[in-house]
Amino acid sequence: MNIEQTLTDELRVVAAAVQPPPPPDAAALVRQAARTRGRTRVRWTTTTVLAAAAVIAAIVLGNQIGRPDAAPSPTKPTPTRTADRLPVGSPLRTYVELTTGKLYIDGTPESGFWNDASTVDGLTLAFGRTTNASGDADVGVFRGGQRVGTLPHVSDHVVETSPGTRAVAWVENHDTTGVIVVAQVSKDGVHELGRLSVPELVLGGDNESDENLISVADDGTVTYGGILSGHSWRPGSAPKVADISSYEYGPQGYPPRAEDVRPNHSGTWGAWLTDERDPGTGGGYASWGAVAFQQPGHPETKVKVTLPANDNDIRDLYWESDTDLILRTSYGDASADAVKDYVRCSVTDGRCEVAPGP
Amino acid sequence: MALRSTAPATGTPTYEEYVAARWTPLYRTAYLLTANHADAEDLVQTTLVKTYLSWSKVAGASSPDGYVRRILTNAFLSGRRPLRVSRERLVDQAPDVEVASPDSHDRLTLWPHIATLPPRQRAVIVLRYYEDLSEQQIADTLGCSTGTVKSTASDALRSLRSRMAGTEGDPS
Repeated sequence: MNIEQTLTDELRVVAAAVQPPPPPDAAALVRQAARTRGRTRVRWTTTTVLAAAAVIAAIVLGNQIGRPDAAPSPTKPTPTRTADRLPVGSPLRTYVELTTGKLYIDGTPESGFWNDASTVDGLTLAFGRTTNASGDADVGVFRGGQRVGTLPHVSDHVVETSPGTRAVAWVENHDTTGVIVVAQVSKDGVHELGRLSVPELVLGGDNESDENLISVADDGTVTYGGILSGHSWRPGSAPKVADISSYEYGPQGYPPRAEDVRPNHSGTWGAWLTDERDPGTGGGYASWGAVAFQQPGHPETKVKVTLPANDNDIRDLYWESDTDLILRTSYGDASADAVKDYVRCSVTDGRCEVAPGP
Repeated sequence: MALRSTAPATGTPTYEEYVAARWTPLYRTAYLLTANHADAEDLVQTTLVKTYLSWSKVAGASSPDGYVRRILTNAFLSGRRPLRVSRERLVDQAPDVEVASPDSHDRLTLWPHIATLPPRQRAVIVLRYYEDLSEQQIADTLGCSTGTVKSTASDALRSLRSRMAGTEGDPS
């Protein structure tokens, strides 16, 4: 059965059989749009009033500070910074020029054509623009700016990196089974340490027995598993049962309403985007107006940074190092995905700067 | 209330003309995404309201249909965003879905399973195999990388194959 042809055929059959109701009166849609605008204004007004109340509260609170008879604050408010005009800082350490596919590491152009790249502690993994015969994109491995190897059959574009960046692991999809591959990365090259066939890796997310690669340690020990069981395996030995419950619900120790927390490589800080705009408005991409970060389990370290108006259309974030975040900001036009600026924010002092391309 | 015509350029449809011309294809795509008529109608109306709010951008876009498709898909996904810690509900059988023709329903082997895919996988499948978009166009529509599109489509196909295998092995 050619599943792709069947999909095409069946979707067309179903769509053709659908009898839509008559279209609504365009005037009714316009009236609904006008009401939506009205609600937006109400929300804005409410937000403004609440913000004004917060400012007044902050002033009152500020006036109390230092008074011996002032009542203690029940909770410590999150420091919130609104950055003014951002200064220009040092260039991005890893940068892919999307129009040309050129990869720069610490300002030096590398050969090849790339879609994306990330660097952790001097180890750069770059995802190729072209695919090989298997349909997988080559993953280039760079150590300190020097290309040391290629990972040719990485499934789903996911490569796990060990805390000390000495080992990497990925899954190859062999149709009826998945194969975990573990390799050591040194300045001399990528040296495979071992392979383990695990059929559960290719069962698919809707199968209860489905398993995924979770992590790799510096000694090459990988952790993998799913809903039913967890395992660890070190090349050269047999797989063992492992407790993977700590991976169940993502990063822990952050505010419950923080969405999509991204921990840094060592897990000492986590960051997330906040103040989301309606992703559907204008048919655009989701964007956020601020970034927050804190150490896991230490809410007192939480800082929220609101970027200035001309740079506060944040689309995504990633870690450039354990202490520096990079924010991708756009033009305020939700229909455009073009990156306007890269903004680097330091978790150590909460300050942000524009990070130019090389 | 007077309707606002924001399309003075020759050959550019007015909002009213656009609604009349695109209602049926938008509804069909929405039906494939939602798998029921009530949600499909809500989704297209929400899309057209948002389209009106951005009409100057839509009319001026190089591909107005692509712009509106992005509104539709984002409205579908944002309206169904699951809680981060929620788990998908596993069911033994695909739920019944509405299809206009009972005769054609009998011949459909994949559609009942498509309707049970997670929303993002379903969106990728519909955009790829019904709208016939390229991976890059789907990535533009969903605001993600082509790699994410590829892996999402791969997950969806794998899931569909797995479900098909389960159905074929079912003696009932």
